[in-house]
Amino acid sequence: MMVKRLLEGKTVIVTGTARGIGKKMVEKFAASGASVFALARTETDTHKSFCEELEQSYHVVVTPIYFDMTDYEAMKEAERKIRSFHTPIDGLVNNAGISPDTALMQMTTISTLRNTMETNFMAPYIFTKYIVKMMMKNRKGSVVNIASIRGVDPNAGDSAYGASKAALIMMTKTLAAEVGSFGIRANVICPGLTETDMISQLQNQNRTFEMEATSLGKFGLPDDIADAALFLLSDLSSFVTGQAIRVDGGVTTVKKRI
Amino acid sequence: MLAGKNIIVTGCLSETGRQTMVSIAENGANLFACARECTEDFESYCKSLEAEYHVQITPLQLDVESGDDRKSAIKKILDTGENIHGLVNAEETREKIEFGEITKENFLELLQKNVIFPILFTQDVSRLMIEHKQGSIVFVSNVVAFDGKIKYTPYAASMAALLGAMRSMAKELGSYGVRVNAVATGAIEKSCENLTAEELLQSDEAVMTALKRMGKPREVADVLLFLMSDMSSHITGQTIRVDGGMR
Repeated sequence: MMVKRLLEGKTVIVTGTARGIGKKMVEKFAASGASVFALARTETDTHKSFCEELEQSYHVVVTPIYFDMTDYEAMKEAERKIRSFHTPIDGLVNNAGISPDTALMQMTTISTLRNTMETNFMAPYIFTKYIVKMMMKNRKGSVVNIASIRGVDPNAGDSAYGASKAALIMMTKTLAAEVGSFGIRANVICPGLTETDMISQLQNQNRTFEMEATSLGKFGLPDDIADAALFLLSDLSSFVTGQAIRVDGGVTTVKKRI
Repeated sequence: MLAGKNIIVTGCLSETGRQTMVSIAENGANLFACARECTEDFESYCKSLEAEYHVQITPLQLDVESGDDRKSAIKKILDTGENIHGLVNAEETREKIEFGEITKENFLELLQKNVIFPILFTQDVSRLMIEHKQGSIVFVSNVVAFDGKIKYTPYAASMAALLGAMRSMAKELGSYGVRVNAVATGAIEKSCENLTAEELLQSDEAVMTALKRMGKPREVADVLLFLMSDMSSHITGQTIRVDGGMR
């Protein structure tokens, strides 16, 4: 017998879809039967044709929308655009984020701190407000935020990044408590080190060190994070809310980066 | 999601166990379904799922407290020559014992039922997984491990013990490609039974959840399905609360 695709007929929004984890998510969600609003900062032909190809392969609608998440006027406009489709929104994945160069607190500048909090916490906070308002009308929905294990385990040099992700985690848990009665769930994924552009600058020595610190002895792939998000968007997780789920291959030790 | 896998589930007589069987069978895995008492009813339930989902379901007698049962269950699994890809430990005893009523005997008995024997069984099964450098093990624990509950001190201790053990197993078995995780269930509906006074009280717990309802056994089963599947291949040592957002 055929098992139904996990997101058949659903419509979901994903931010930060130009590359890495976000791109993999759009691909995976479309393959699972969802129509996707694929948000990215910069309009490129590559991204547009990526969306078109997915539409053809999986017979779903993949709509790219381009704006800078920290430009709140542009965000409001994007929200209006999404609203104009009159499609109930079943899911939102706040994936867009930045990882600033590691720096001890004493070396962290005001502008780094501000940019990090703005992109990783304030922008998803405000965007979530808009989208959850749409979800409340339909009395259903699943919000998935992408934080980091750095929002749970401290790491020297990651104070700004870690604090921004910790803020995102608490925002998610609070949202879950606030909108659960509307049938809306909110969960957060805490990836460990994942093979993306963000970590490609890790030196070999550090790569081995970090990899060996996981129980499974490997880094995550964008696929792994996308799979966890797929689970949380799907009805498989219909009684799971307010949770922070680590997808980290079992990292538990607090380490100093060399 | 599980096509071609072989999965062992214990505690198949409970509603969560039965729903886990459905969720796993529906997704294409063959099952070794362990029940404390392998009754004719249970065997025919296995047959009906087999016919509906076109998978193989082998009922196994397993009172986890009995060393003989554990040994013969493992032998029967070995005799099939099949690789084992997953183990769901869903067997548990939820006993109410007031703090003042705890004795060495009733405390030890509960720890044996909920912690020691399931872990010994898991040890046997893990050897089959280690050989093939793959596998997913899940323990069904309970949110009382974190939150506590009046009159459930020994039970809460046993559920918390499982979680500590799970995290250690995850570290030890990780290098063999074996993942170990847990779910912690919250207020889950009992199926089609008339609610007793105590269960009515439990349904008050529904009001305490963010989703303002009790969970269904199938909703626990579906999280177990996720942890059995390759969708969770980078998740180990984790506990996922299936509690509707309880606080």
